[in-house]
Amino acid sequence: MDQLIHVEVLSRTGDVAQRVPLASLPATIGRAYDNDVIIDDPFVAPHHLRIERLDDGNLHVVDLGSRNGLHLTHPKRRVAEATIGGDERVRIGHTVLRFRNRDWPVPAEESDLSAEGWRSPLVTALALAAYLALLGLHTYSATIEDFQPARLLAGLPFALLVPAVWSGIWAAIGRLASGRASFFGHCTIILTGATTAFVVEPLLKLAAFAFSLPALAAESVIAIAFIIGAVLFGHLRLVSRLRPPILIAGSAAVVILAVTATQINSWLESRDDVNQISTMNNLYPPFLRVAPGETPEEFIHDSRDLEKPLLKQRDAAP
Amino acid sequence: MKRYAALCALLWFVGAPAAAQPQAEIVSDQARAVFDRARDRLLQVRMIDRSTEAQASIGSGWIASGDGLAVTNYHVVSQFVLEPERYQVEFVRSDGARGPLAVLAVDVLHDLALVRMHGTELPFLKLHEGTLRKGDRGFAMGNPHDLGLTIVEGTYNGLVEYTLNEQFHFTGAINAGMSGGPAVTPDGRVFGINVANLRDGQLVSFLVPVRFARELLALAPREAPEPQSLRGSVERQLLARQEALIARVGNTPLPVATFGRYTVPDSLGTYMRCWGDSDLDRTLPYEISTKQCDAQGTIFVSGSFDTGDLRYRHELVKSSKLGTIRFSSLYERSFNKPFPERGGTREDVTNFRCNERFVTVASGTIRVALCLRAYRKLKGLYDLRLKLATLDRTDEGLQSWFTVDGVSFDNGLKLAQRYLETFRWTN
Repeated sequence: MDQLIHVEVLSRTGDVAQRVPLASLPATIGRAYDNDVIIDDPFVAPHHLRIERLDDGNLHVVDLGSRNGLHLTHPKRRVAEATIGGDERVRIGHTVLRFRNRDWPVPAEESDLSAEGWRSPLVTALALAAYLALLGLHTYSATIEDFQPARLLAGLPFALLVPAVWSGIWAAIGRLASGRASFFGHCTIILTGATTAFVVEPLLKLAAFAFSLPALAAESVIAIAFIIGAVLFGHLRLVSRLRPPILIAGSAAVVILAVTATQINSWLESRDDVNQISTMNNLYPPFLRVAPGETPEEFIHDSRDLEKPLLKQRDAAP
Repeated sequence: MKRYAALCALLWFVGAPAAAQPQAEIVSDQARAVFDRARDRLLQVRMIDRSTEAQASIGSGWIASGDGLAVTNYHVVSQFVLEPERYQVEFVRSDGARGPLAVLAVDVLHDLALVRMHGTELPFLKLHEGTLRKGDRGFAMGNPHDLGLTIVEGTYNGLVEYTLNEQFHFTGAINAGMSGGPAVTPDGRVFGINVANLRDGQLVSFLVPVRFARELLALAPREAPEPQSLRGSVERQLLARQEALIARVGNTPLPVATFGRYTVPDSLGTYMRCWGDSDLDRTLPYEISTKQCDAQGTIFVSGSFDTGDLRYRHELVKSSKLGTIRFSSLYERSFNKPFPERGGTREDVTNFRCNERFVTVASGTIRVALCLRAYRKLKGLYDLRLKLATLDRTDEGLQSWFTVDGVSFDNGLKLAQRYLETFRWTN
């Protein structure tokens, strides 16, 4: 077995802050300058730890009689000595250490989302074309007055300005945070997000009509929130060096909080407004209907189910 | 549309300058004689909030028997009827004498209440027998805006047409605060009770015919009932009214009318007032025509809440120019229109709950939403809303909104089914 190992000093987030190769064992770790690995941590003893290799090849650490001791992190406990693998961590003072052999396997490289091809103006142009086409279609189908193509042109500056300003803001943040603006990359992200929303939202509405699922129409906000979360993640991935799981968790938290707040708000409003009638009003051409129709008797019979919850609310405090 | 005259505490100052105007030239000698004879038989009826001991609203009333029976409007005493623990009723006479009033009975359908004050051999107003003719002179009395007892000369104009509520049309200035006061003939006999005026009208006022007061007086209980039982009698009267209405329209197919290619429910009776309109703006690539009817029969329940409404609106949406996709947008936008706004607070009613489906009627399948809410204080009564859109073509469709207030759950559903089953069309 190769004798060389790496001692890794980890930061609070688990990244490697310092990596020291050791050619031979045993070796010592501490604050004093005669150690093989020197740790500038006032809570570490001058000679805190010895690391050695056992006969079976495993690494073994021994506390050299420090005041603050040697601690394992999972589970947390103080030990006098311990045999440790490459994934295990030990803490001395306020410092977390990991020991790895040279043959420690590493995962394959991640795909580089910030690679040039993906962020090129050409891709942005394609995304822009899709976005404008769908926006135009959306505007056309929602116009019930006499349709003038000039109307589309009139809306064009605004349709371009909003994603441009948005991407500019992200590019500025990226420049400050990681030295990389990626304006076209941010453009592609927001345009793709908007295009997806223009496709998903009408499809959900249509499905709610076709299968007679009012809840689907009411909850389409969740699909939109999902898209917003993905867009947010894309932007953050471009501007930040943090690892994807952290960015995903962050984006998800922002979106979930926003959705929850708006849902609670609208629930309170509809609860207070006793005149509010919330029904699904999506209507599409007759041939897009899939769910069968009930007879009037069946419909009225089903409507009897409304009585119980109404009485329950009536008899509860207003 | 009608605005009840009692809920006037807020309006109190609005009318104040009018009191300064000289009265002698407006009121004829006849009015002076009528007023002089009646003034000690008139009451101001005050609703007193128990916690602040201040008046919450004021109305009028009149003494109808020597032993202290008096008549006013239900809506003048409605706060006491619905929340007897919070309010009490007081009278003030023209000489300033005051005392408590006990509520003996209410007739919520005709907006009358029978009250009793202590006393014997009191002066009282006699009831008019026989009928009046349009154009006959009448005098309405009461205390508008708490300005003092007032007499108003006006003209009897017969029964109001197109309504479920039998009321006299009286042309004269009946104002807030005069509710419950008497309208008398020149010989001083009561022929009606002031109840409402039309908000946007000029002197268009309404009186409850005296025969309903006579019926209430005939049934007068000797003792005042428990205040809590009055609310039960309001419930029973409203339930009986909707039973009668459903018996009239709910057991046979509804009358129908044609509307383009469609067969739709028509006016349910002479008590409904109907309109039609076509939106023929030639700059628009579509047409929407409307047919609507409503029964002018709202019933005052409380200051925040009316019931008894019955109305519907059909809209025929048509376009040969829009194409399938844009017609859907138009049709959907039209279906989004809300029902006519009704009052009510969370104390009065629950939220609406809906059942939404496709329903297949005789000619094909339509989209239907049926919604109901329950009354909290008046148990057993519901408001119903039904709206539907036909799905038979890509360039034309019919949509309909149906409002029924104050029905039992079963009767509401029965009526909704009749309504649904009426829709048919030709292809």
